[in-house]
Amino acid sequence: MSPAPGQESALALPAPGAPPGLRHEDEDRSADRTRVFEARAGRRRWLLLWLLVGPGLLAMLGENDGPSMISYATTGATYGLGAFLPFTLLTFAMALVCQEMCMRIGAVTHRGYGQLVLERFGRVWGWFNAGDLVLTNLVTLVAEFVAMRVGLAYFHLSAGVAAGLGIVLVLFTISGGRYWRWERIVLGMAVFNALFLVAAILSHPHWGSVGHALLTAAPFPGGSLNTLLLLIASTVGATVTPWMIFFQQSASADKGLTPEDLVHGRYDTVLGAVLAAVFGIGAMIAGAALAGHGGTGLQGLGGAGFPAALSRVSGHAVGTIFALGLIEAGAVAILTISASTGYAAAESVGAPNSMNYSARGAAIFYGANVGAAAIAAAIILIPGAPLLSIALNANVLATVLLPVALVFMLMLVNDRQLMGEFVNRRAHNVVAILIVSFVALSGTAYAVDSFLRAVHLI
Amino acid sequence: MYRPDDILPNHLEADQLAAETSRPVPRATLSGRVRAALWGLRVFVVIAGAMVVYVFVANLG
Repeated sequence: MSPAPGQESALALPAPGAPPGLRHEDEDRSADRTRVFEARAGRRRWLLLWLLVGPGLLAMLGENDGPSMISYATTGATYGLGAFLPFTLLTFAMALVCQEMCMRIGAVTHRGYGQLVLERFGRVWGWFNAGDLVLTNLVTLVAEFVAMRVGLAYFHLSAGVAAGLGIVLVLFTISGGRYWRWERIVLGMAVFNALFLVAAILSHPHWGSVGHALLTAAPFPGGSLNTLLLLIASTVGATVTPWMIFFQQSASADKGLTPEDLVHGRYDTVLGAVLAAVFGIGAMIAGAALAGHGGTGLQGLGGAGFPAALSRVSGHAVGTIFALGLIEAGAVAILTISASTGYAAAESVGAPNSMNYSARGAAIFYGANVGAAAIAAAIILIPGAPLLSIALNANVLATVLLPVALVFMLMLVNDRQLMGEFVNRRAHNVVAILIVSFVALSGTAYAVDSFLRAVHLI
Repeated sequence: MYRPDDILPNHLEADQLAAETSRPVPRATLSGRVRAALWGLRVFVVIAGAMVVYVFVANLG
């Protein structure tokens, strides 16, 4: 990266003429970068795009996870098609703004979010941020396994299968010791997030109502204020989360993106946001079929969940596809969220943190990656877990803890010593501050209202 | 924006090597007002998070 004129860069450069000491991680990344260089030199645009997409798509489609899809479907089942459709688009636009900044910081500094916060602001803030992430990731990972369990239960498979399948996937994807391999496998799985769109189409919605809701944001939802606040907070938490910030910045650095790749990094992020929005809205439309069939009572469905309800109301095919979608959403998110846990844990103690290392070379990174998934898998084996409640509250907790991560991200992206000419412009900062304020407000409104009700003060 | 001089023969940027990224960036200097704002945000988040956890646990009962 290049510092601003007259300003010294905070990023260290090697001594002039010193032979670069290449580590195994560098050699793997060099192979990836050589392919990018050759594609760019040969003006092979589609190949270049193929080589450079990944972190943005995975962050966005990874966040279309089990709890998020259940949250979208719950919103559809509770309120039908209305203001939440355009609201969901708005939250994806918010996510796009935040994730572009993460990608930019990773590409310019070549460092992960956790590492930069630790080094730039000190251990206290670095560990606070990592602690927030590990807490929300553990809760969210439990919810991902729950989503897989709900999906597999539709096919009469037990919670043990969900736990085992999730762990096997984590071990399989990280076993190659190559970021590129991990990314391509998870991308291949994430394609099946489109199942939610298929479920929406097969549920035969009234497309005129979908268009009307998107254009007019009507009808506006009524009913309980607390349920409305819960669904607003969980919808925000379904699209912008702390793990996405850690993940996309770290993955962009791990992939080896440079400032020259920023345009393609933006394509990657926009493509991910658009696809995730379409698929998320697909889940909401599919869930809306339940609105006239006791949708507001879905909390009581417990383990049977949405697939069985959709099967009864919209047909067996819709229930089956929704169940498969939940398995995919949970599985992909288990991989991306456990990876973000690995990045955060290793970065917060200054340990090696790359998929290009072997297990022995980055024991903390891989240990945290597998360990977080293993703990979550063990928790879902506990009988009688309140499935839907865990899934919805995972997103709410993420929303409540998100403002801190966003504020540090804003400080990093405006740090001219780190970012040089790539700092945010004023208009970008205004939008970002509005997003942080909205996220903080939506999480707080639900937390305060629910708490006051729980202690019978209102 | 892009400086070809920073690119090594292996197509990595000079500051992209693992040896370089493992060298910490210098600490930022935060003003008292910024530190106070960060601590305020931290306290706010802890309180709001505790409320969410309390409500979740209370609803289980």
